[in-house]
Amino acid sequence: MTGLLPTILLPITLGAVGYFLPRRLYQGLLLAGQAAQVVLVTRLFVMVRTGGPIRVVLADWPEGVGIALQADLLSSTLVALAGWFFLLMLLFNTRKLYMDRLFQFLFVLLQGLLIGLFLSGDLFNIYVLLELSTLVISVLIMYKRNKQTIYDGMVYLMINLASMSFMLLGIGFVYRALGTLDLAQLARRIAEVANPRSLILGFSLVMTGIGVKSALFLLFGWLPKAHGAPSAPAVVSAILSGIQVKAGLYLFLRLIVTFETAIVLRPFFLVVGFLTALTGVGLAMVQHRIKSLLAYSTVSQIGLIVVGLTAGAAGSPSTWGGVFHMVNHAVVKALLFLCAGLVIHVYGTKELSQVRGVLRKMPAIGLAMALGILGIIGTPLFGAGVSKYFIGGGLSANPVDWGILLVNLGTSLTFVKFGHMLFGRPEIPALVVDGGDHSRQPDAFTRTIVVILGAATLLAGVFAQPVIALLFGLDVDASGAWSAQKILIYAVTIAMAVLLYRFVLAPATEKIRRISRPVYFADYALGILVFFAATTAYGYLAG
Amino acid sequence: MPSLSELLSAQNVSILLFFVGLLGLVTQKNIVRTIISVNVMDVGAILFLITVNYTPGSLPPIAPMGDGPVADPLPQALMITAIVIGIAVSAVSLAVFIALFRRYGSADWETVLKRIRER
Repeated sequence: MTGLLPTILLPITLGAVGYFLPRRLYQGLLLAGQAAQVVLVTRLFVMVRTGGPIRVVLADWPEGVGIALQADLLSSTLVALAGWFFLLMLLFNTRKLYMDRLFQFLFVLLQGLLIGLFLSGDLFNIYVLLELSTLVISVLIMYKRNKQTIYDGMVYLMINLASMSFMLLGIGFVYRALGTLDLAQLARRIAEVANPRSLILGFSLVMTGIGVKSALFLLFGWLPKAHGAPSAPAVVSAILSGIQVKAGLYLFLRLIVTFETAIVLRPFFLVVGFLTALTGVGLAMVQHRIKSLLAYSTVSQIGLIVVGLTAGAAGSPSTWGGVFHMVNHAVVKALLFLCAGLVIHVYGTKELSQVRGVLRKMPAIGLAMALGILGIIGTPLFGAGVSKYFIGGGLSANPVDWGILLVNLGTSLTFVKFGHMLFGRPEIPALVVDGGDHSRQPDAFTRTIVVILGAATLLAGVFAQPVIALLFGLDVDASGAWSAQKILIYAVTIAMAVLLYRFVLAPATEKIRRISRPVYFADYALGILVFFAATTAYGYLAG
Repeated sequence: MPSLSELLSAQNVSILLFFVGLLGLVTQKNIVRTIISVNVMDVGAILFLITVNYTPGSLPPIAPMGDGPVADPLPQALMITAIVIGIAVSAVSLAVFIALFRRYGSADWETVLKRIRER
């Protein structure tokens, strides 16, 4: 028994079988299931480290006909991450009122689907899992049915369904050209294709689908709506930004690796990654709602990850930097979203400018939040700082290295703005949106989970070398991430960010808000079309 | 010059359907039409996969059958799944649309957004 299938089926089965139980029992059952799941994923993680990649074809079908599941270094890491994350999130949420059975069922269902995505080795299976997770997520983000969330859910649903149609047609083209949908077989057959141009259309169709899932440039319109939906539960935002979007990026990497023997792609997606990162920070710094700011910052970090994944050949330092950044960003962004949820709950407002003095009012949460902020702006010794160093490592002495510095300056600027929430005097905001709960502090349980995540962001950096060795079996020298030169660059970046915020961004915010134009659904659809056209055109011109 | 029936092969029709749906997605401002457009795209993709890998004169891969023409069964088996998912997806989209319509009283993307911003 290799334990690949149980990790997918355990949460789904428990969620479905126990659904008739009373709420409290059901919650207990799911928590027990999550504890078992953590054991399963950790065991899988260890098995892959000691015994190498695992591959099974379900129900003893021959290779290429049956659905294959496979776990390698990368996917077992992400599966382990998903296992631990969902346990933490369920624990975090145990006392929330909206945690009824349907919510919990959908939540653990999403875990099964995401783990399925990480383990799946079959293009059509991936399509089915993506489509199902789209439906589950759309219900989850609309769960507290108030305000704008239904519109956000509708936009999310339509963009993602359209992208899935692209993927389905692309699967048709791939199957017509190669006669298989199994990724391992595809890679072998692609290497033998006489005329690589025949693959371009299929690739760009599938890539448009995956590109929407991983929120690339022109395709990320849905992400801030879904992840930053003002009234979506904090744990949902944390899971979406932490794990779900990483599934898209993971598939992006798998596809690139599968197709790159036939089609030249890396330069194109390097540029796309930069554009994603730059537009992401550009939009993040002008947001005035706490969660939208975090959501747009996710877009920019995705851009950085894509830059890392495509900057060097497979297996180069920057690729592993990109993958490591996926993990670090998952922890940091989940932490920030959870803190944001608590802050919004206690202060009763979603506006950044109305929240001040978090450190004084909620010291533990404030501290964790500060750790998260330091992490995401790439402070040396923090996990995200190390992974950003590796992403840049593949590009040293290269004009794009400056691009990364620019993105990091934008991120610092954004989080200088975000960090203002920590300081000052806590006051009851004049305009209370939802009716805050000023008397209540988050309970000890919630605080512990947030502080654990905060510590994890720091520890991942301090022990970067053993962590990378454990996760990816790679022996690297991470000490360059906190060399004097890096620290100097970091200090200059922060100083510039503070000055820019003080003298440029803060005065201009009101003006920017006035001239901004609403983005309609047709714009998102046009974005998908343009991305598809550009990918196809690039494929034909470069090939 | 290919004849009309050659031009209207199932594959060409399916690709045409897909892009008609895409055109609808970009141009239509009504939410119901957007849902229909996505459906049309989906149908186009499904039709494409059903007709893919039909080679005239090929032999059945599993068991002996009658004398009729035979196509690769795998995509067809996959498409049953895709059709079922398509139904679920349409149902969810329409349900969300109903909730949206009840709240904002409009089926127009721009009007809905305008009403959200006014509140």
